[in-house]
Amino acid sequence: MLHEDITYGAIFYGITIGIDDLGEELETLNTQVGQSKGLSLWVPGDTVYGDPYGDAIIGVMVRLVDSADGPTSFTLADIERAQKSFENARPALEKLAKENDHVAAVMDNTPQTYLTCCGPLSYASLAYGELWDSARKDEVEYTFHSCQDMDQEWHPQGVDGVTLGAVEYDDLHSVDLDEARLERLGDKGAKKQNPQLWICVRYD
Amino acid sequence: MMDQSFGELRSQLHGSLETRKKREALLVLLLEHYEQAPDMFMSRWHPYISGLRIEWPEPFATVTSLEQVEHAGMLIPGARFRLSLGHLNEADFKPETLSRDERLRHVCGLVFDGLMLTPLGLSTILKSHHLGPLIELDLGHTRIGTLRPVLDSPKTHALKVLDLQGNAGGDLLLSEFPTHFPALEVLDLGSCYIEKEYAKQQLDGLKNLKHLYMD
Repeated sequence: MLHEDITYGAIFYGITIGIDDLGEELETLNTQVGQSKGLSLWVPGDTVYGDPYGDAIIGVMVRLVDSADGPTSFTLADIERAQKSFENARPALEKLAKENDHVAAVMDNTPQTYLTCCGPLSYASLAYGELWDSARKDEVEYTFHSCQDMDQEWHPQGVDGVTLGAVEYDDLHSVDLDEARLERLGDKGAKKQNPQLWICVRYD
Repeated sequence: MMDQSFGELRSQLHGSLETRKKREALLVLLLEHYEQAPDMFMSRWHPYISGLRIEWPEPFATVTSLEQVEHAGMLIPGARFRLSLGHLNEADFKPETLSRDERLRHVCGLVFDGLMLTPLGLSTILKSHHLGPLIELDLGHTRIGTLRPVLDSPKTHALKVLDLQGNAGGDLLLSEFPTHFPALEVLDLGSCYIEKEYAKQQLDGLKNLKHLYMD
């Protein structure tokens, strides 16, 4: 995801790679990763109206959410599938490292799950809770997570739940999730009977 | 029908209650039976459960109000619970009032995630005469600022779970953890933005630590 003019949020699994000094080589990297079976390049932030900087991720998408989508759920199983896909793509990553010194330099980075966003005025939050009508945002039991499209209209639904993380622009927020932690998140939001993990994206 | 339920009760009580699912199933059975036949519950089930003198796993389950914890404490004599209060409005959360509530005797876990909690408010709660030793404490997103009240309280020495998610910039006094929380098994420092190596160095003496979250 580079030069995206749509606002997205995502859960993405992979290894980080610094892109501050890449300049035009970023385009080459983007092409090379795109040609590597099973791998994608995620560049956070606004790379249409702004310059790419900070860290990008080479890896596998867990869940991609358009700002028009509204709250989008995912599960631990989705992360596990992405982890498996990433491991299956190791040969492609190693081949890429032979072709690209920048990739070779980050091969020892530990792959992680990240909450991230890209596109213009991007913001994404990760919540554990239940869907909640936006019109009733003032009646929430926990924190209201809204979703806002690129017309700056709120989606009819958001999420009432506890917050695991939030990102804006080029932030990357690593997310360490397991069953035990989900149980504790359930204790935090104990009024919710069927909580799930949700990504809420805002063009903000 | 009642005999069948009593059979189910005995079966659950004599099985393992180590998993959360099994404990919740038992609590649901007790709640349902009490609702259907309170007299029979008090004359037959309650003495039976009390007589077994079971050492209940702690916390036994999660409740969201002092009314619930009182009711659950009556249904399962001797059990202690996790009290989750993050759903309260700021105006309804009064540490002083909470600290004076004798129903805190049924509590061994406190979840404050999302509530604005001052060190003085937390100290007041921890000094409550009704509150016993805590097994779990969740101060996530409370902007507590300093953990001094927790570290100064004798009621937190047996803590197994300490959740400090979303308390960036606070004075968490990590170097004092190994001395004060020798039993700590789970420490959640998510979104506290503490440098990993520094934290690991400070927490090196936590010999029972099984899970450290630092995302």
